[in-house]
Amino acid sequence: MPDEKFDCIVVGAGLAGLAAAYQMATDGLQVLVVEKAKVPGQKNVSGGRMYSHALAKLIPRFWEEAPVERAVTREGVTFMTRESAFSIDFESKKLGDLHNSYNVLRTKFDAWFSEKVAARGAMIIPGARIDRLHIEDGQVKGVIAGSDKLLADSVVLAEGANPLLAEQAGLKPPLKPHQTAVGVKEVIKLGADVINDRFRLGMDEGMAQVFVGAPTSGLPGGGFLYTNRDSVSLGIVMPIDSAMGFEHARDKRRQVPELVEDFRTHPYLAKLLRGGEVVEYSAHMVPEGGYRQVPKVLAHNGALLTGDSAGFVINAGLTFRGMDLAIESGRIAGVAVKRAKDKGDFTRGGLKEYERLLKQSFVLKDMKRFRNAPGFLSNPRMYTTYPEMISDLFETLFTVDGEKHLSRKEVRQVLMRHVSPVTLAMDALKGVRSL
Amino acid sequence: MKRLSIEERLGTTVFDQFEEPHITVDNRLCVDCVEKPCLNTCPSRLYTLHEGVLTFQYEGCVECGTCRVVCHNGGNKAVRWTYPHGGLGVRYREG
Ligand SMILES: Cc1cc2nc3c(=O)[nH]c(=O)nc-3n(C[C@H](O)[C@H](O)[C@H](O)COP(=O)(O)OP(=O)(O)OC[C@H]3O[C@@H](n4cnc5c(N)ncnc54)[C@H](O)[C@@H]3O)c2cc1C
Ligand code: SF4
Ligand code: SF4
Repeated sequence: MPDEKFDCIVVGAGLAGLAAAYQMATDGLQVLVVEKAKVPGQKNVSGGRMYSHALAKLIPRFWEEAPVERAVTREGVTFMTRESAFSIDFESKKLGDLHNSYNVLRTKFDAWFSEKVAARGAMIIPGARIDRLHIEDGQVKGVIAGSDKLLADSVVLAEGANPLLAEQAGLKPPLKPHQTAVGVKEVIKLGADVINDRFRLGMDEGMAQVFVGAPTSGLPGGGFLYTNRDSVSLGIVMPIDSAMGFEHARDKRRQVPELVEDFRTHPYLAKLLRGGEVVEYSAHMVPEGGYRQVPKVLAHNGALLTGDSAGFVINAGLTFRGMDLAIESGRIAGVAVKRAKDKGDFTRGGLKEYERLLKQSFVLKDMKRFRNAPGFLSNPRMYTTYPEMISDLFETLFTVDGEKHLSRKEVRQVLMRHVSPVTLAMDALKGVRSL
Repeated sequence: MKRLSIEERLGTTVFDQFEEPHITVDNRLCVDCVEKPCLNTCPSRLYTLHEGVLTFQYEGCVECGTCRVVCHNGGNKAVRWTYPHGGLGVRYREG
């Protein structure tokens, strides 16, 4: 390993780390990226829809060369009970024309991005695990990997959702179950034509669908389906506190590995995925605590927290975002390191620009805007009462037997079987306020 | 599509094998762990009970970190967690 001193060492070649390195290398800084996977991307998991705007700032029209899977032109939201599914299905060519978002598979995508970063002049060392930060007198001055000490004026921590180094150095309190979710995913090969037909998509058009209710067996969390070129990414994301299930009787504990199986074999999905083959099983954590769980201090003496390591994820029900926040926070970290270098001050004072720029950016603005979403989304009625109510209502509406005559009063009765008018109104209000 | 066991599913994922476990569990501490949240939350189901004794197997770990969080918050802190050495462990082809 090199024994020169870098302007910055980036820990982790995920989206945040790569964006930071790209920005700094473009500005002519000496940058080293260290990644534990043999090839960047081989340790990374996403559901799979990336909003384009953040990366497009760094690499305009990246979709023309990047290994994206499909441009999302179709959005779905499905309320699911064990036996039924009620969907909102929105299709718009415009979404695709705007290049609003793309389905991606991270192994391919991150490998491509890391090549772009290397082409800018950053050095990337894959296959190396950083064991701890090198700290002198309270100032982060590099990283330690095995018997190697690598020195730098600054370190960008982009280690993802399980931030061991930041915790170990006391830059972040240890993760709590309510701040993070576990995501479990299967990639199911189906073939491009089958996908186009079953999901009613044109060539290169993609679908992003979220599911509420049955996928997490009535507990907080949700399911997702994203279409790739010739496969589908299917999975669940469940807050760890609800996965632990302490509020439930032990025998009712949800078996996390089985949730995705129940989901895939649900009548609605079983038909869509018929003949498919599971080609990969994966799991990864997602920070889901929202704005209130983001550490107040993100710039430390010699170190910056970015992406998932800082807790930058927004789950707003209809939209689920981590990748664009990771990229933008990485880019901003890169800008802040450059300014610190210009000033010759890598202490917290010199790097504080990072926090100021983040506050002005969509990263913290959007997180703040959706700050009430975690509370709203932890309401258990969202996952049991309402999917069941919707199912009951539509089953009643769609059932004709010559006996029932559905009046407003009867519709009201169906609804009231599930929830009181006051509760319904309160939940609706909270929903509107948080989303 | 038919249901697959966790072993069948993990069989689709590639792992670069290694000798020294990256996660260790001091299962003497597990005796006093009432809730044992590792059992139902590990996505690879690597924590199991055999005649009341907690056993952990590190092969098949997808390195998600869930067991670290649950064991240290609700468990009895028996889990010591780190990533495998660089280049080893789970190697996604899709991600
Ligand atoms: C199931 C699931 C579904 C999701 N769906 C979506 C979605 O649809 N849309 C969306 O925008 N976001 C989604 N997300 C969130 C998104 O994946 C993350 O927010 C994003 O990947 C964060 O990027 P990052 O660069 O911060 O972290 P990561 O991408 O996790 O990168 C961290 C990198 O650091 C490396 N690393 C960690 N520690 C070390 C170390 N000690 N030494 C060396 N290297 C190290 C890792 O190997 C990894 O390459 C989803 C997440 C999951 C788990
Ligand atoms: S949660 Fe920790 S202490 Fe409890 S049984 Fe599991 S490993 Fe042991
Ligand atoms: S890191 Fe994840 S997969 Fe590995 S043992 Fe822990 S919970 Fe299971």
